[in-house]
Amino acid sequence: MYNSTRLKQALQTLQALSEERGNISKQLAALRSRCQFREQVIDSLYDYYDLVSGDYYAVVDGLVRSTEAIEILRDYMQEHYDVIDDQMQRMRKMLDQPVKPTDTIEKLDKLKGFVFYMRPETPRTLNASPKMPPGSQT
Amino acid sequence: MDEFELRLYQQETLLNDDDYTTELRLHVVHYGETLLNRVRYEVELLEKELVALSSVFNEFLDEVKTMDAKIGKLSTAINQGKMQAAKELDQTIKQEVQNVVEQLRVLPKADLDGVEMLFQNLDALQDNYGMIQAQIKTLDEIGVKTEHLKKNLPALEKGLNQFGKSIEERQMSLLVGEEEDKAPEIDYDELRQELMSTLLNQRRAMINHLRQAQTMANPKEVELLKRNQQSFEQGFAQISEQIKLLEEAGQNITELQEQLEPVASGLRQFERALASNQFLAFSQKIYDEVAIVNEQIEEAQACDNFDDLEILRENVEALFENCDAMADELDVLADQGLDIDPVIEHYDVLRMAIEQFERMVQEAANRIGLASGRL
Repeated sequence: MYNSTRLKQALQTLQALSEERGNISKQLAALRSRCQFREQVIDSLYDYYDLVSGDYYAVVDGLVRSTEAIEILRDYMQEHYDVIDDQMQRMRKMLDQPVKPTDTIEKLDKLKGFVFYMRPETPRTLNASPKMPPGSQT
Repeated sequence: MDEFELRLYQQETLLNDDDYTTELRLHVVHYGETLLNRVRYEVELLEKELVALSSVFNEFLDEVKTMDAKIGKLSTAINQGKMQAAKELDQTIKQEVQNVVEQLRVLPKADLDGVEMLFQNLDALQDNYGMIQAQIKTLDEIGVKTEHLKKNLPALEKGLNQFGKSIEERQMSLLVGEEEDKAPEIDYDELRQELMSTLLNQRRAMINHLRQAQTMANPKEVELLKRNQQSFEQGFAQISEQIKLLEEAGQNITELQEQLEPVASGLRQFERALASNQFLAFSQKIYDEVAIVNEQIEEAQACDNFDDLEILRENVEALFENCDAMADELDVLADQGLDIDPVIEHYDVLRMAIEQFERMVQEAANRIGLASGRL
């Protein structure tokens, strides 16, 4: 005759395994969120780097001639220079917090906000170099 | 403006700077380099973290795959075990009833030593009865339907009580010196009625059994039906033997034989009924396709490069096309007035398997993207 008690034990083992599987799924989802956060931040930092380096080289290479335009660029860079440490520390603090997959979207928005806060407003950058020769904009 | 003109423009700009403008440019260099260095540092750090996290993610993913395989195997084994346990317990109960009948048959010829042995047998049968009850309780606890098992228990319990009483009577008669000719007689009428009742049950069950063989659409259940067929054959043999005993005792067995014939006929029809089942072939085709999908799922789980991923994506489309073609075939069968509901259930299995495959391919795409540094 079939041993139902062993069947019951097997079922209990299956339940334990399923529970463990559920825990691993949660950890997997949390890891995925952490990866997504970092990837998002890296993308945003690349964007920011492109913008700053574009303005930086435009000034250093002499593509921007107007003193007023250089003043505007100097001012925003100074403004960012003053806050970048603080912003990066806040970003790091946020990245190091425990992640719940359910909060992923909200948290991603906050992270984007930190990085984009330092992005200069687009019209300001364009207006900063009115004498820039055509085709030279980075 | 060509490159040369551009350089001239830049040189002219820098040469014509006044002191204030030059100072401004130096400020921009200072602030700009600081900002760029800081961003570069953060990006490098984050990229290292991303690679490390991706590695851990992949390790977890491997663990999940291993665990899923274990859970799948265990789950299948448990489901098979549940069916097997219920079936074997059912057979055990019937066998125990048969054992009690056998014991009752030898009882009238037993001497005092024989009675002692029968008491021991009664103890063993009662132990078995307790064990059967415990097993049914366990099956109840793990969610196996036991109603059909419990239906047979009263007959066993009644048989055991009767057996105990009969042994005591036999012992008493032997102790007070009564002769063999005063031994309790077998109640043939009751035995005939029991056999008649069993035969009627067998007939009803046989009709259901044959209907299943004709309409059942799951190839995996064929084995189960064949096992049921074996049970019917065993039951048939036992009943035939009992009828033979009645005949040997000079009892009228005409009515019993009349009831036995439809069961015998049903046993002969089983293979024909199975062969005429037109849904089975279609379901088998579906499950052949499901097997292919399962292989593809395994490949998707192991996939680690873009080339294989592309092939898997093409396979997803091809399998969906096959699935749609089967749906068209089913529509044709339905148009012919056939009830395709039993096959739809298996078709849904295929559809869900392909959808799972599609998800696994997407997961593989994510995984490959992650391993290469992009989710």
